[in-house]
Amino acid sequence: MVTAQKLYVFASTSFRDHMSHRLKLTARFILCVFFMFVFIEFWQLIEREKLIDIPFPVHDICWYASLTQMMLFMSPRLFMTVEDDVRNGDIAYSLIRPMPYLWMRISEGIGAMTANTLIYYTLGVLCVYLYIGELPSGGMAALGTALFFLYLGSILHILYQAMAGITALWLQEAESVYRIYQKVLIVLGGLYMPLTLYPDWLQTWAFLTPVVAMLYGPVQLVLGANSPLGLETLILLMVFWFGFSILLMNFIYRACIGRLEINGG
Amino acid sequence: MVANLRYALDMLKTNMKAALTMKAAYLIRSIFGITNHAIYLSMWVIIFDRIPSIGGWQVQHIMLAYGVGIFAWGLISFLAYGIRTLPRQIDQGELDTYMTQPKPVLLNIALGTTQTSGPPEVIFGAIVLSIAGYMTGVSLLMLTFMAICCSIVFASLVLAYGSLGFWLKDFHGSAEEIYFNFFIMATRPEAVFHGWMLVVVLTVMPISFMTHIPLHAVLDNNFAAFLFTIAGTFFCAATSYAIFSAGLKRYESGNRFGVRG
Repeated sequence: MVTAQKLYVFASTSFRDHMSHRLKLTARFILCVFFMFVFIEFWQLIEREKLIDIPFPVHDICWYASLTQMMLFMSPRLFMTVEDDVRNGDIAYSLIRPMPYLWMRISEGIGAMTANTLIYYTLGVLCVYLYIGELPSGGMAALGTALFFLYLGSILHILYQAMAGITALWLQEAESVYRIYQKVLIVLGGLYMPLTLYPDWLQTWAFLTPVVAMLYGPVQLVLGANSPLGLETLILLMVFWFGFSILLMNFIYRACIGRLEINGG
Repeated sequence: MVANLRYALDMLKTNMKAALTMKAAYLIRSIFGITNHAIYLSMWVIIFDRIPSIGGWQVQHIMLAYGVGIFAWGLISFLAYGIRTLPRQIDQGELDTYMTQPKPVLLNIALGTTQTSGPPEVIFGAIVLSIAGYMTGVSLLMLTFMAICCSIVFASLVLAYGSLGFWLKDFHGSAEEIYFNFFIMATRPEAVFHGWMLVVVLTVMPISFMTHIPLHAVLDNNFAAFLFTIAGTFFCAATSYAIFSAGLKRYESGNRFGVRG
């Protein structure tokens, strides 16, 4: 209980700190909106040129593409914070505190992400709405549900960033591991197009990874009646992948920390 | 000039030696770096398997754009990784040391650190470019021209946006996200960018000079596009250096004690 309170304090401090960097938040937000518009243009171009038979209304798929891009911008780059702690030796000071180090960083990440979420879910969604010109077919209910699960998916994304970051104890840098994870998220998470448009074998592979629960699962809810995954399936997927990921993270953390102790920091 | 070049080469050698002291980690990071790009490239192959052409772009166009992009990314990571970490160096007051040295500040910043996954990425980019060149019939000379221009423009973008760290605190994470997205956007089919978006990708975010315009020059033998590429490359380099210089004048010391070996 005491630990939960401490974690809350870290998250809220990070939230306030993140909100105080207004210029940085604005610059990042403007870029995110631009990239979301590029995705919308991409699908509108495909629709205009009638290149393929898209099994969804074009405005739904534009919402899908925008929200997937938004998810990438919502999360802070936690792996870099962990990597910095490892590289400059600060992790040694953090480990002796009465606080689980990785959970402290994850709380900070969730705090910063919540600050982003407030902005992206209001102004960001408004910009997308104005650009596309209509809500998804499922209306506000589908959009709201998708955004709620996307927030949970982003927390899962933060857990994997923390895992990537901690590998710096072994590889001296975390970026290479993170980049692979990021590409898996982009490809198997369906960043560019819904997984239903992928070949069957790739869909099977995608459903064996957590990235479906963090990106495709939540966002495909805006595809309305055509959304391939039901809410119950998505909840089950989330519960499973949260449980599995926390166990995996603890395992990697212990293995890497053991290495730190052997090396003497 | 010659002395600076010799200095740059010595710095590179030192960085490489430092990286090779941990051979296993270097090897693993190199494999991860190549895997990372291979995964992303495979996604475009999957997309073009389903959609044969997007705005006139086919799989070979994406391979050209992506190959040149990886090449530039790897080259900058190896030769000038310091400009990628510029916002962090500014926040931590690390430029103090460089400003007291006789060598150019930007050269010291760029070569002060390196990312060892750079050389394998350059090789992988060159392989993808060669395959795409074979598929499109573009000569080696033109591919080299494209790779050089793309690398200069990308380095300029990284320097210009990284220099925002002089005005924005704690900007490193966001800057990295921005560089990555520039790289990604530059490998998007050109037809996606039209109207006001075209203005953006030619001015404040000149990613078109990385791939879209050079592609016209090498594929269509378009002389105007060739000249436009060269002019754009010079313009990007000059503007980014001006932004960096303006920021450097504003730079405040981190008041941090440290020792550099």
